Amino acid sequence: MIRKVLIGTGAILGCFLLQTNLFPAFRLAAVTPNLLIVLVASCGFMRGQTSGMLVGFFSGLLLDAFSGGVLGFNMLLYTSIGYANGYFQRMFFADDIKFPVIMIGISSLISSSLTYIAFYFLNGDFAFWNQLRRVVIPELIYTMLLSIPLYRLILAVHTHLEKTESKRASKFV
Amino acid sequence: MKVRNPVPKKNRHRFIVLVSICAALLLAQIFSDGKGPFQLIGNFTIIPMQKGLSYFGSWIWDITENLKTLKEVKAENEELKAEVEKLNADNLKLREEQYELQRLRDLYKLDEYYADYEKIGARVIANSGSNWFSDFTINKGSNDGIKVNMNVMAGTGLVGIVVEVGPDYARVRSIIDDASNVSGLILSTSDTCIVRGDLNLMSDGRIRFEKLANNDNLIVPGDEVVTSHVSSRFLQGLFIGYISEIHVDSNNLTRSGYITPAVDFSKIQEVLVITLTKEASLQERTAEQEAAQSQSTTNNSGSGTTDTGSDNTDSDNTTNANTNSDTASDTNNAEDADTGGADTGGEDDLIGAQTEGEEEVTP
Repeated sequence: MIRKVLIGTGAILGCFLLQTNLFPAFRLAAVTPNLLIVLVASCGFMRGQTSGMLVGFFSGLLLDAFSGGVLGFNMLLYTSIGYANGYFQRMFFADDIKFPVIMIGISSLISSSLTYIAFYFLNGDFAFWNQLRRVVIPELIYTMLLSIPLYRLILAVHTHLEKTESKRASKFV
Repeated sequence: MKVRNPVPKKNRHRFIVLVSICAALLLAQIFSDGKGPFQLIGNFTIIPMQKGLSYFGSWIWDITENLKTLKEVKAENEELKAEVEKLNADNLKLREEQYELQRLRDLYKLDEYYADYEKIGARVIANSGSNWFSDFTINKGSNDGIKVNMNVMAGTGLVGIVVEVGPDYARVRSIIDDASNVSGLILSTSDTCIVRGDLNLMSDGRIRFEKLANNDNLIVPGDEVVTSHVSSRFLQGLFIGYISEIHVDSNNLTRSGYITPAVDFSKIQEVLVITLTKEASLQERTAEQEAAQSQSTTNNSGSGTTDTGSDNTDSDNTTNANTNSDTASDTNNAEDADTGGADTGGEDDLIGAQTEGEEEVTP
């Protein structure tokens, strides 16, 4: 249990620091990829609703508290995304790469669309197609591209965790 | 083997709990400003990590920079030497003009407007992890005397304004952010305009300006734009950038266009924070005026010397009236044409104008 919490905290922190410190230096088409959404979505469909929403909750907290913006918005968004991804756990097979990339893509699309609606549309900026072309689509592509290596890393950690868990369970019996 | 939760309802309950926490936090922010304990927690956890990473990054950057070939450096040296000669000549001419300017300023008592502001240097340690906003974190906070609403510059140009302060960090919203509004002044004609950040222009590093009166004053690309006396949050006379494009709006009353900022927003590493806020400077000025006025009233019993004194206060008052009417028209404009994200800025200006009016009318 403690191991899980430690690994989860490390993963969230790592993705957050990469996203705020490292990737702004590697902008493509003037956007940075959203690593936290990759983590939240993969935790959701790999490990289920509970870990999905917990990881989402704390990633959102980190983003909101230490990266400007309104406290609570990203928390709500990421918690819901983690939870919703948990519904697709039964469709998840470890050796299929298409499914996770598509799930991560959909999550990224939904999160950036909702951000647009909350901070731009409700402020009277209705140029959605423009923002879609400028921000949403480039971010989506960059995130999906990066999700392939990052997903493999998360998967490796996940299978390692599962293995040790089942070992312990068998020892116990 | 995947472990399914035996009771799916349990998950739903947990989800509802988390969502209600988020909703409570969102609601709490309507009534209170700032993020409470998170600022302090972040100051001792996240900020040190970001600082470390940023120093590591700049160290790597320095190493790659050092590998520039000698040839390049030599060529650059030649170039720079030529430039130094040219600048020396320019400098001489400018210094002569400086003396003249000083003399004229003394005559007009304009000194305070162009005073050298005291600044604190700071490093940028993190960007916002989002593509929708343009803000960044610097490594100085309230322990170093940084306060909210202090203006931030990089080199000679205006970068943004401090919006959040923690003990050892501060967040700066840059002027190219979509929510940013700055009251600008065209240096050549003294016309005011509103400089507004735009998400679509953020990637090009350009900013839009609007609500520039369509009068007879000729304004061409290349003219300098600085912050105006009207703004309630930005000090007067900070350099924003050069006009790159200008056109008359379809209403035929105003002009708008684009500004190329003096700062390259994609490569900000070090910034300077001006320790004087506009509010403080306004208070200082009213205090000075009050002092001057009381002095002139005590001197009023005489006849010969008081003349100049009363003249002075008179002229002061008229300039005040001017600035007040300017702010009023400015806020009107902002309200009228307000459709976009100008909301926050407009309101801020409005509040500022009111307080400014109150402050300035009392003496």
